[in-house]
Amino acid sequence: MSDKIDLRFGSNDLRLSPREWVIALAIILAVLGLAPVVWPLVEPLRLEPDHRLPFSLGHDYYTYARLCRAAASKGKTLVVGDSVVWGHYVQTGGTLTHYLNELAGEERFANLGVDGIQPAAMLGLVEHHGGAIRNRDVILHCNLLWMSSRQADLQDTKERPFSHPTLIPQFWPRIPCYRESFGERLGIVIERRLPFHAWKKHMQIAYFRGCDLASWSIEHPYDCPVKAVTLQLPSPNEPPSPKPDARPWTQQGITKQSFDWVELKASLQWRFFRDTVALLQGRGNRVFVILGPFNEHMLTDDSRAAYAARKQAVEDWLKADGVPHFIPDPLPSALYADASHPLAEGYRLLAKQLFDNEAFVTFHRRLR
Amino acid sequence: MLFHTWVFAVFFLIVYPVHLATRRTRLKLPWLLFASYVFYGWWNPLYLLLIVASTSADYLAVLGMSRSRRKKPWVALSVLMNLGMLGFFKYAGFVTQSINDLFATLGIRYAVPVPDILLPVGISFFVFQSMTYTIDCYRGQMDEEPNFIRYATYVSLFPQLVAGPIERSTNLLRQLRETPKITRHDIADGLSLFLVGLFKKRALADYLAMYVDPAYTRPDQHGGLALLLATVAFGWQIYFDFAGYTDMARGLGRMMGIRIMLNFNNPYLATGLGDFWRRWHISLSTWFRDYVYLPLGGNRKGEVRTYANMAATMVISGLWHGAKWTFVIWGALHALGRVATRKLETTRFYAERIPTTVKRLLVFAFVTFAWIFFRARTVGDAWLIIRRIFSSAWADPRFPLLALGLIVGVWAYQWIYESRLRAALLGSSPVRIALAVFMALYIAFCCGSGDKAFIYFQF
Repeated sequence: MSDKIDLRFGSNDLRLSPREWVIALAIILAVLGLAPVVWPLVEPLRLEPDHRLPFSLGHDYYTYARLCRAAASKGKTLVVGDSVVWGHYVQTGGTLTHYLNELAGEERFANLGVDGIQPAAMLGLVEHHGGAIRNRDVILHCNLLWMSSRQADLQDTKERPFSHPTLIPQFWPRIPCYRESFGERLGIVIERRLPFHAWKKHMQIAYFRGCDLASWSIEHPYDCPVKAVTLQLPSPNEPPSPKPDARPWTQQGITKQSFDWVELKASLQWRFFRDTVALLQGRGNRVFVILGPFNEHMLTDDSRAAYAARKQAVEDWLKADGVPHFIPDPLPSALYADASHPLAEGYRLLAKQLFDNEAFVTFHRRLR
Repeated sequence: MLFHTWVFAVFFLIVYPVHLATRRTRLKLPWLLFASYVFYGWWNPLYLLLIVASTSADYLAVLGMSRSRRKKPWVALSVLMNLGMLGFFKYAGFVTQSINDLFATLGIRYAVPVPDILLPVGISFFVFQSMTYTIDCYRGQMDEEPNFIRYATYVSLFPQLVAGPIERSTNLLRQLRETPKITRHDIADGLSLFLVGLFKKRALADYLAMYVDPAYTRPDQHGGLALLLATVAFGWQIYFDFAGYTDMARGLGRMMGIRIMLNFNNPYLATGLGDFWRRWHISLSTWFRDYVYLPLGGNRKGEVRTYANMAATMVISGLWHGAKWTFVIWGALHALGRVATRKLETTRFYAERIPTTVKRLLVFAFVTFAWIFFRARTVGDAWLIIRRIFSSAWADPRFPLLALGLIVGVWAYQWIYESRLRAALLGSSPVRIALAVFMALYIAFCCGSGDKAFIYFQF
C-alpha cells in the first residue's frame, strides 16, 4: 500500500471535550424540556365561551392537553368524545356542551371532543395527552358508528388509512388494518412520550401548515419562518374542511343504510372504549357515559334490529360495571345531519333529555 | 436500519452497554458479529446469506493460500467469486438491457430476458472490503486471520457495513485483535462526530433533496436557473449525505473503541481534480489506486500508459457506483478532466499564479457539472438538464433562502477550517459548545421526522 491509512479525527469537525459535552447536553436538555413548559406564557390560550379545539388543530395534541389543563383547573365537567361531542355540523354555540351550560346556568361543561377521534385513538389521547383531567368528572360519549363495519372497527385485513394513527396502540392489541413498519411504530411510541415532540407538532400544525420548517421553506422560499409564528391560534368556530353540509340528512340525498355491524364481543373499538373507561376510573375520574343518540331513522329494519342488540349489550355492560349512563331515544329524524351527528336543535334536545334523566341529575348534583 | 431513526437509537442503546461490558472478554467478537448481523438483516434477513457466503469464501481462500504453495489460484478464486457476486446482483440487469438496446439498434429482433434482481444494500462496500483481505494476504501485507468470528466481524461491522468507509484489513482487522480502549474522551469524540454527521444528513442533505428531487424527476418542467441551482444543491446534498453517514459511522466506531478511517477531507476546497480525489470518498479512491491503478502499472510505464490507467480507473470507479450509463459517463468525465489537468496542475503557472480561490471554484464548477450525469435518471435527462440550463428562460427558481443561508454558512465554515482563522474559531470552548447546541437544537426543532435513506446505500 502506498500511503498510510488516514485515521485523523475529522476534516471539518467539531470536537468537544467530555466536560464541554456535559455543558452542551445540559443546555440542550434544558431547552428541550423547558420549551413546552414555557411556551404557554408566550402563546396564551384565549378561551372563548363554549371553547373547543379549533378544527385545524385537530391533530395538535399539545393544544388539546392545554385545553384539558385549562378546563380541569376551573373544575369543569369534561365532555370527551369524537366529532359528535366536538360538533361537526355546528358552531360552538350549537354544541352539546353549549346547551348543557345553558341549562346549568353557567360554564360548567367543557367540550373536549376531537373530530375523528375513534375509541382506539381516544384511549391514546386520554392516556398520553389527557393527564390533566385526572380526578375530574368526565362525560364520555360512545358512538357505535365506529362498530358499524369491519372497516370502521379497524378489522379490515387490507391496509387502510384512518384518523389519528399516532394515538392508537402500536403493538398490542394488534390492529389488522394498521401496517406501519416496526421502526415507525417504535418511533411513535417514543415520540408520544416526549413533551417536546408534542410541542414541536403544535408549532408545525399551528404555524407551518403541518410541515416541518424545511418542508415549509420549500413551499415558502422567500418567507421568514419567524414571522410565520403569529402567536394567533385559529378560532374554535373555524368550520371543518371540507365545509360540511349542515342540512338534515334527508335533504342531502342520503338514503337508508344497512350497516354490517360488528359483534360487540369481537369489536376492537368496543374493547378500546372499555379500556378508556377503565383508564379514567383508574385515574380517579367519575365517569358518566352517553350512548348515541344514533340516527336510527337512517337504518334499514334489519340494521336497526342489529343496532338495538348492540345498544342493549352496551347497556348491559355499563350496568354490570356500575357505570352511570344515559341512552337517549333517537331524536326526530330532521335533527340529524348524518348517521350520528345531530344538528344544533338536536343537541339542544339531547341536553334537555340529559337534564331530565335521573342518572345524569344524580351525577350532576354530585359534581365536584 | 438507518442511523438517524429511533430503531437504531434503541438498537445502539442495547448493543453499546453490552459491548462495554464484554469488550475485555471472549464474548466481544460474537456480540459484535451478532449485532452487526441483526443490523444488516433488518433490511432483509435473506441478505445475510450473501454476506455469510462472501465472508466464508474469502476466509477459506486465505486458509487455502496459507496451506498451499500456489497462492495465485486462491486469490483469483476469491476475486472472481466476489466480482461474480457483484456482477450478478448489480450488473446483470444492466448488461442484458444494454445487449437488448444494441440488438434493437442493429435491427435484431431478439431480446435477452432482463433479470429482475433485488440489489442487496451495501453489497459494493462489503464485497470490496472482504476482497482487500485476500489481496493483502496474497501480497504479504496482511497475515492470515485464524479466527472466523473475528474475520466475519471485520467484514460486517455495523457502523461501516452498508456505506463504508471501505476499511482495510490492515487497519480494522488488526484493531479487532486487540482489546478496545474506550476513554471518556473517545465517547466525547464519538458524540462529536455523530452530531456533525447527523446535522449534515438531517439538516442539510435531506433538506436540499427536497429541492433537488422534483427538479431532477421532471427537468422539463423546471427553468434553467432552477436546474442550475438544483445541480449545485445536489453537489452539496451528496457530500452532506455521504460525509454525514461517514461521520456517524466513525463516531459510533470511536465510541466503541474502533478507529475508522477518514473518508472525506473538505473535498470542495480542492484546488485540482487530483486533489479532489484525494479528499472525496478517500477509502474508495485509495482502494482503486491500490487494487486497480497500481496493478495496471500506475505511472511506471510511460506517460501514455499512465493516462490510460488513470482513465480506466476512473471509468471503473464510475461503474462501481451503479449499473447505468450515466455513471459511466460521470466516471469518463472525471477521467477526461483528470487527464486534461494532470500536467497543468504541476506547472508553476497553475501552482503559483492562479489564486487558490479561483482554483477551488474551477474544481467545484467541474465537479458540479459532472454531478448532472451522476444524478440524472437517464443520459437523455442529463442532456436535457444541460440544454435547459443554457437555453431556457431563467424564471424565478424559488430556491429557499434558508437553504442558501445554510450552504453559505457551511461553505464559509469549511473555508475557515482550512485557514488561519481555524484556531480562533474552534479553539474557543464556548464557540464549540454553542455550535454543538445549535446543531442539536436545529435538528430537534427544524427537521422533520422523515427517514430518508442515504444516497450511497443504493450502491
